[in-house]
Amino acid sequence: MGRVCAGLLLTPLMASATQSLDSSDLPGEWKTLVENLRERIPLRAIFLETRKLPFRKDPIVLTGILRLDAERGLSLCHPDAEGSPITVIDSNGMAMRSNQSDWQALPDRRSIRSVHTAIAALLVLDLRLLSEDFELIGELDRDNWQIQLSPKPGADTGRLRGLSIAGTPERVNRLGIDLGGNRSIVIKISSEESVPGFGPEEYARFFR
Amino acid sequence: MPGSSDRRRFGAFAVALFLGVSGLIVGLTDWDQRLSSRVLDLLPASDDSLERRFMIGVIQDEQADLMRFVITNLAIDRRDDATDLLREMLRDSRTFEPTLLSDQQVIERAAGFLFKHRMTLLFPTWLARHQAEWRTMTSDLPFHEWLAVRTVEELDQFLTSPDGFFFSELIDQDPLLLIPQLRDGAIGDAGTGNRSTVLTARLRHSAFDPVTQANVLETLTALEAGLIREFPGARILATGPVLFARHSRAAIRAEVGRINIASILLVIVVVVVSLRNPLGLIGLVPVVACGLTGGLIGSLLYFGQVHVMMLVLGAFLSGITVDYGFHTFLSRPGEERSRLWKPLSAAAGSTAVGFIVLMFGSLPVVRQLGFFVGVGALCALFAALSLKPVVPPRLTAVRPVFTRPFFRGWIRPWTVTILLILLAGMTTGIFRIVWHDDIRELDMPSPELSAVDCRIREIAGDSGDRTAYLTTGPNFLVAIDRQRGFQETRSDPNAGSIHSLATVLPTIGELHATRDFLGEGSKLWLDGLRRELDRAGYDPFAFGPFFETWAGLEADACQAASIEEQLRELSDLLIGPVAFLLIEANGIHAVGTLAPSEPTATSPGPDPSFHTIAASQLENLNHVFSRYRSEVWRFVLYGLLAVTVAIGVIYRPLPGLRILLVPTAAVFSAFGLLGWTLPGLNLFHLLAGLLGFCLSLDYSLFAWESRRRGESPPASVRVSALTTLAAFGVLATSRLPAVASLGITVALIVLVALVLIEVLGATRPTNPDHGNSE
Repeated sequence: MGRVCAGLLLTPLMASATQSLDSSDLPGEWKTLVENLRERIPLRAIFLETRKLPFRKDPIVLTGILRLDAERGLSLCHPDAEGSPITVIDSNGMAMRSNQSDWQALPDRRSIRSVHTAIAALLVLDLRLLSEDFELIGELDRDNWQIQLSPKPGADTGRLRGLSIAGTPERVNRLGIDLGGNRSIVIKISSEESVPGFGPEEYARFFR
Repeated sequence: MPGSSDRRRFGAFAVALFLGVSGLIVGLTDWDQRLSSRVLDLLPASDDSLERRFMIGVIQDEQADLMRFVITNLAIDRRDDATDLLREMLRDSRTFEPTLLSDQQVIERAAGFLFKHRMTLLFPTWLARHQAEWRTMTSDLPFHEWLAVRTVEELDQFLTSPDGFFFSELIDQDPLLLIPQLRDGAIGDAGTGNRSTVLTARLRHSAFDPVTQANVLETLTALEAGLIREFPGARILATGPVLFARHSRAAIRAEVGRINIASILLVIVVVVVSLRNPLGLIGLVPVVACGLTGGLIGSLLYFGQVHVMMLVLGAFLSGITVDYGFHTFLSRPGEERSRLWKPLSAAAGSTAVGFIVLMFGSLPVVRQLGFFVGVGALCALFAALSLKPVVPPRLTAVRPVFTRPFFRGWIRPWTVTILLILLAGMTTGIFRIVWHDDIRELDMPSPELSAVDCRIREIAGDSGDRTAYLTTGPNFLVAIDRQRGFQETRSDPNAGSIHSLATVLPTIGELHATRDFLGEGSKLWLDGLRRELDRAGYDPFAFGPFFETWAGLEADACQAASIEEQLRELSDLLIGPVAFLLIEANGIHAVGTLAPSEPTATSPGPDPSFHTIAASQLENLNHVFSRYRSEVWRFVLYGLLAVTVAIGVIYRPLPGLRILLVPTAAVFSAFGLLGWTLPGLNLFHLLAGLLGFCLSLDYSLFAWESRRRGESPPASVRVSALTTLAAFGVLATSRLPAVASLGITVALIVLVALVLIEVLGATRPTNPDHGNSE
C-alpha cells in the first residue's frame, strides 16, 4: 500500500522530467496539450527567423507573418523582403512566389522534401507521422514544454540532423531545425492569433 | 452459240486463274516484312527536312523506347516507399533495362555535371551578363571592383530569400550562385512539380516491336498487382511511345475491319434493294476481288513494301470496281460495243491514268495509292468484261424504280434555278478554304492515353500553356547562339518566363570574352571579392573551395572544342522528357526552349534565321506535308489534264467538255461546301477530289451515251452512285481523320454528280423509258 501511495505521489514529478514519447501511447497530459494546441489551428502569427550559416560571421534574421492551416499547410510571408515573397510548405512540397507571380516549386529533392514534411508535421503536432523517423524526447512542466526530435538509426531524414519545438500550454513559440555543418534555423513565433478560418482571398494569396 | 459458250468458259477460267494465283501470292506473303506501319515511312527516304532528320535521330537515339511511371492514389508520405517498390519491380522485370532514373535524378545528374564544369559552362554567361549590366550603370568603379561588390550584393539577396537556405551547402564552392540560378529558368520549372516520383525506364527492345508492345501490357498488369499488395488502392500511371504505338496499331486494324465490314454490308443492302434477284451480287464479288488483289499484288511487286495507310485509304477501290460490275452486268445484251465498252474503257482508263500519274510524286503513301488504284481499276475492268458473258442478264435485272430518273415529274424551271443558285452558293466556299496538314490525321486518337500522359506531365511540373521550341545548329554552340536571338524576340516580361539551358550556357562570343577576362582582370576581381565578403559579414576563408577551383582554371579551358565536348556529355546525361533541353540527333544539335504560348494559333512562328521550330511541328509535320501537298496538287492537276485530254480524244473536244462539265461542277461545289463548313482541308481531301472526279466522270460518260440516244441515264449509274454513297458514307464516319476526310469528300462529290445527272436526265429525255435493260 505504501509503495502504491509513493508511486501516485511521484507521478507529477516524473511528468515534468525529460521522457521518451510514444506517439501511439502518449501520457495523458501530453495528449491534452497536443489536442489543445491543435484546436488553435488555423492560426496567424508573427515569426522571427534566424538562419545560421558556416560562412557568415553573424546569422541572417528575417521576419514575417506565418499562417497555418491543417489542410493547406504552412505559409510564410516576408513583407519586408524584395517582392514580398511567400513560401508555402504543403502536401505537394515547398513552393514560393513573389509579387503575386505563379508559384515556383522548389527543388523536389528527396533530401529536401523530408525537411518540408517534417516541418509541416511539426507545426500541426503530427507526432504519429514524426515518430516514424524520429525519436521524440519531451519535457513538460506547468508553464512550458518542449520536444526534441532526433533521427532514428537508419531513417532517411535527408539533411535533417534534429528538430525541436517548444511552447507554453496555449501556443507554440519556437521551432528549431538543425541541418548539420553549423547550419540551422530557429523560428520564434509571437502574437499568435487563432482564427476560425482564413477568407477566400487570404487562402488564394497565401496558399496554393 | 458454241462461240458464246467458249467465251463464257474462257472468261470464267481467266478470272478464276487470276484470283487463284492472286490468292496464293497474298497467302504466301510475309506481311510483317511487306507491310509497314512506321510513321517515318510516310515520308520519302530522300526527304532532308529538319523535322524528318530529327525524328529519325530521336528514334535512333532510343528516346522512343522510354516509358514514364508515376504512382497516384497514395498519401504523400508513402509515395517514396511505393516508388522504391516500383523501381525494384521494374528492375526485376524482363521488359525494361535495370537502370532506372526518376526525372529528378536525371536533372540532378545534369546539375551535378554542370556543378563540376560550372566555371567553363556557366561562368562565361554569368560574366557576360554582368559585363552588360556594368555597361548600363553609371558607376565610376572599374569593372573588376564593381563586379566584386555586385557579387556580394547578389549573395546577400539570395541568402535572405526563402529558399536560399536550402542551397547554402553549395555556397562556399559557388558564391557566384552559378548552380542556384539554374532554378530560375534553365532546368528549373514553374508549377507544382513532384519529379522524384516520376520514374523513367528504358525498354529492352524497340517500342515498335509488336512482341515488346504485348510484353509491356503484361508487365504493367503485374506491376500494378504487386504494388496493390503492398499499398492497397495505389495506382500506376504509365505513358510512353510504346503505348501509343500499340494503341495506334490495334485501333487502325480494328477500324479497317469495322469500316470494311460496314461498307460491304451497306453495299449488299443497296444491291439487294436495287436488283430483282439478290444472287446478282455473286457476279460483282469477283470483279471487286480482282480489283483489290490485282492492285495489292501490283503494288507489292513494284514497291517491295507498302504502308498500311495505303490499304486503309485504298479501301475505296472496292467502291470504284463495284461500279464497273454494275455497268457491265446491267448493260443490254448485244449493245456492249457501243454502250458499254467505250464508256467503261474510258472511265476505267481515265481513272487508271489519273491515279497512276500520282506515282511521279515523291510522297510514298500517295505514290503507292496511285499505283494501287490505277492497277486495281484495270484489273477490275478486265474481270468485269471477262465475266460479262458468264453472268446471265436475268440475275442482274433491276427493280423498276431504278430504271427511271429519280426526279422525273419534279423538274420545273424554278427548281432548276434554285439548284443552280444553291450550287453557285456552295462553290463560293472555295475562296474560304484553308489548308492544314497534320500527320496525326493518319493516326487513331486515344483520349485515355493522352489524358494519362497529360496527368504525368502535370505531376512532373509541365504546364500546358507553354510552347516547346527547338533551336538547331551544326553544333551546340551555334544552336545556343541562335537560341539567344530567338529568345530576344520572345522576352516579353508580361508574357511569362522563358526556360532554356541556353540562358546559362555559353556562346562563342562569351567564351572569347571569358578568355580575355581570365588573362586580365580576374586577379583584381578575386582580391576585391575577398575584401567585399569580409566587409559584408562573411568569412572569406570559408570560401576556400571556390578560390581553389578558380586558381585551377586556365584560359585554355574555355576553348570552343572542349566546351562542345562537355555539352555533348551533358546531352548524353539528359534522358526522358528533359532530353529536349539539349539534344543531338542524326547530326542535328538542338537546344530546347519553353516559352509562353503564342497568343493565337495563326501566329507566324519564329523567324527562319533563328533555325527554331515549334516542337509541335515534329508532331504534326505540317510544314513538311504542306510542301508535299503542293506537289500532290501539281500531280492531281496533271492527272486531271490527262483525263481531260483522253476524254477529248475519245469523244471529240466539244462533247468531251460537256461530259467533263458534271464532274467539274460536282468537285467545285463539293469543295466549296467543305470550305464553308470545315476549318481546314488537307492532303486527303485533295486526293478524294481526284477520286470523286473520276467516279463522277464514270457516271457522266454513261449518262452521255444514253443522252445522245435521247434516253435517260442508265440504271447502272443510279445503282453505282448509291453503292458509292453508301461505301463512302461509312468511310466518313471513320475515327481515322484522314479516312473520314476522304469519305465525306467523295460522298459529297458523288451526291452532287448524281443530282446533276438525274436533273439533266429528267429535263430533256426524248425517249425516257429506254435507259435500262428492261
